[in-house]
Amino acid sequence: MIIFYNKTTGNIFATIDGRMHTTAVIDCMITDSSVNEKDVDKIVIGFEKLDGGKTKEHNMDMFDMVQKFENDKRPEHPLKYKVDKNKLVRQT
Amino acid sequence: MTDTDYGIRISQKGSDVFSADDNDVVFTSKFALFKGSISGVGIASTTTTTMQTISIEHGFGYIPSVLVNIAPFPYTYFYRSPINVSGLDHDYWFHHYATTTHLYIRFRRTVAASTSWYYSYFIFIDKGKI
Repeated sequence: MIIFYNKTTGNIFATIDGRMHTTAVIDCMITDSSVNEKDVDKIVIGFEKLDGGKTKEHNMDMFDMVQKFENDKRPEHPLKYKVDKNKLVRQT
Repeated sequence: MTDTDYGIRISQKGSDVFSADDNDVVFTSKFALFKGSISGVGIASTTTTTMQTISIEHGFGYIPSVLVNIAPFPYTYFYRSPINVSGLDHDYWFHHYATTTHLYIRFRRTVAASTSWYYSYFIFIDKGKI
């Protein structure tokens, strides 16, 4: 999962779903015309698919959150979270 | 195994899936078909009638097939983009389009009102026919 958020507010405004991404996808950006692009940052959680069948791990300490977002019975919604000091914190 | 010799093939009954001609198999991922997608969700807000644009980079180098759903607050309705809804309760306008590098989702209201827009998108991975 790739989470895009506003650095100044911590608000998450977009995601790319999934556990495994190519480097090209990880390098992608999502922007919102109401947000200054310089204020946009992203957090990659999961695996990056590299050449030769290798993978690289990203922020696996947050991987349990991906599983919460993917839960098909009681999914948590990533847009209800904020990024606070590089952690995902649920908003009320 | 190389990048060019793997994929999915399904042969007809009595036919060898490894040696059958491409034109004789029931299914082969060698040809144009969706091989996956980039998908996700997002939220944005508008307060005026100014167009809001979401830019989602994909970098495929070709124009992909895309699918976009949008739900304006209070998220009672989930619309398939593009749509222009006008009526007593609705004045939503939104559409999307894709280029070789990005998916753009655009939306606005025709009257100024604070609105949150929830969207989901799918960018299908295949060069297709475009």
